[in-house]
Amino acid sequence: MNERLVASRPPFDLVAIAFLGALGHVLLARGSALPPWLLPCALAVALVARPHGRPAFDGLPTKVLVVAGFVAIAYGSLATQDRSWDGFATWSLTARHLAAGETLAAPYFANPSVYHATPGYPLLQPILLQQSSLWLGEAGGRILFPLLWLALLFAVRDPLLAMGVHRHVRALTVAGLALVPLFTEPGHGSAESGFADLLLALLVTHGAAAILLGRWPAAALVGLCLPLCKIEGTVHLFSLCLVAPLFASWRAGLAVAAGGAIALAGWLPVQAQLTHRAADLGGGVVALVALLPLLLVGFGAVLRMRRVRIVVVGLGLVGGLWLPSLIGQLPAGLGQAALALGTQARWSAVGEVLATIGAILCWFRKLGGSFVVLAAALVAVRLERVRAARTAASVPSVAPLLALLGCGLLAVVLFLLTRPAEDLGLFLREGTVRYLSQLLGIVWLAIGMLLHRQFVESDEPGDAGVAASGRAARIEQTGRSLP
Amino acid sequence: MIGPATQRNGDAAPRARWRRLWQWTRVAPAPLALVLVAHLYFGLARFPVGSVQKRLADVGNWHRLGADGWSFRLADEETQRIARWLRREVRPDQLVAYAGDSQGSMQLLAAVLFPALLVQAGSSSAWPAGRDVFRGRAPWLPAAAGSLPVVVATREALRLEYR
Repeated sequence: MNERLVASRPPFDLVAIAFLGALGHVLLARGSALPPWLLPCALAVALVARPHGRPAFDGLPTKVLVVAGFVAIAYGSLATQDRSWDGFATWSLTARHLAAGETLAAPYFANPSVYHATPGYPLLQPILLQQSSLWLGEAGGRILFPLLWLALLFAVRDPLLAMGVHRHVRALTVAGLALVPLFTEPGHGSAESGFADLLLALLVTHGAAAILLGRWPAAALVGLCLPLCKIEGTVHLFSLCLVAPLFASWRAGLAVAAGGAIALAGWLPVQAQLTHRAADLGGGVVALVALLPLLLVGFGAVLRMRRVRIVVVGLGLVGGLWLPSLIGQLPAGLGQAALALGTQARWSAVGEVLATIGAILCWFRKLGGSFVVLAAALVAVRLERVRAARTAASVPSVAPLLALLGCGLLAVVLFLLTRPAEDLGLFLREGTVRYLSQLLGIVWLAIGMLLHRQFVESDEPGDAGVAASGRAARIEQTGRSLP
Repeated sequence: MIGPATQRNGDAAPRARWRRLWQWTRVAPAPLALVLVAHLYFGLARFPVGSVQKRLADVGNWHRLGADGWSFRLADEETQRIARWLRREVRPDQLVAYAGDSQGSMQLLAAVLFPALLVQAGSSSAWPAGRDVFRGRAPWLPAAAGSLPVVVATREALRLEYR
């Protein structure tokens, strides 16, 4: 039986998250509390819009692994409140205030004399947690975290299925992601820690898959959610907008940009209100920043036209220099980082930052061998192409994913360079691995595609596309194992 | 036959070079398989200790210490005593005055005391109306002139003053 998932419909979890996030922010911006009916409505909409096919993992060993990981994370999530700093003190605390029926007019949000650790943080995860806790209680609502981890595994598995990647490769890839210690072991950045990096990793993975497969509905929803998730979400949004037209689907890139523009236009005034600096935020700045994703898509699309490439690159350089000053006019979060990039970047620390990131990429105790496997897969596939003189492949190129990884790593480096000297050590130790964890879904998606090209596709020169898809289909039908 | 032989001899060296490269590239998948197996093995080997044992220990310690004890388990004794006392004495609808660094320990205290709120000591006119201000007296501190307990925070520690 052909297991190919023919779906242009967005994933179930993405629809639910986007519905909750968008409607939740609208209600909060209008001064309303978040009612409990949001969650059932979101699930109903997601059920109607879900893709065809039964969600499942491939192979018994992978299923056992996933169940074991889910049970472990669920136990850690439900047994206690957040045991990690940011989860306890920021994201989940905001969720608890929302769950108490508070609106943005409540003292916690509106009174500048009331202590609020991170007033400018986006509200998507607190909204999700608030909704789940309204139905399941404060402890039960934390089932959200193992569900997000499960959704991340599906976010990697389902696009691989859509591309026709062999089921053994899918099983290996999901197993590899499920065994990344950072998510499954307790600690900062773990699935149950309450940090929003897992949610962001899920959204970024959905975004990467959407631009890879040209699925504009999913791309639009990702664009809508990214700025509402974390401050880094806006950075990933910009990356997707730039990479999509250059290396993948410009239509999906446009959809990401449109969703992102709507989200930024709605979120930036709310963020300014929460940071008590609404008077500092001009409507013009909001409009320009909201238009940035669309400008990036346009820039990428025009860059592909060779005739005007030099002019476009020049304009891009000028725009790139002007960009920090534009974003720096935002009174919180991204604005502050952009301002610091222009004036306070400590370029003398670039060696230390690069060395630390290099070490963390190979840090087995946290990230496993994720980035090492990716590097080895890239080398192996490249050498195989040299050996077999292959010109075609049955799965798309991983170039968009590598470009997204490159943008993500560059953003991490630039952000760390803007940290004050006394804080850099802390961010290098505690923050870098979490920023890199946001890219793990993309890493394993690329690994799955490369493993398929390396071990499944035919090595007959010139026949790769036809032979590979036929061979893969035969293997699936007969159940024969990989050679 | 000079032409074809010359041509054949001229092609022999590059062909041999490509054959050697081709043979070497055949083993390229081996490192990939090796690191993939290493990653899977490492994750599986760590699972019982990292995911199960460590999690059970953390959960057990959290229940033994409580939310305040767990949050401030790495802080000094005075900080732990202040957090414990405040968590016990402050009512959910009260305001607790604070001063000092807003990063670090203060972040955890705000979460520990939820739904009570922390308010800046110097801006009493802006404090939310309709809420009591906490005025408890810490039993281990000597009698002081002021009646308003103010939690003074640094990044690592909490101290209590009366103003």
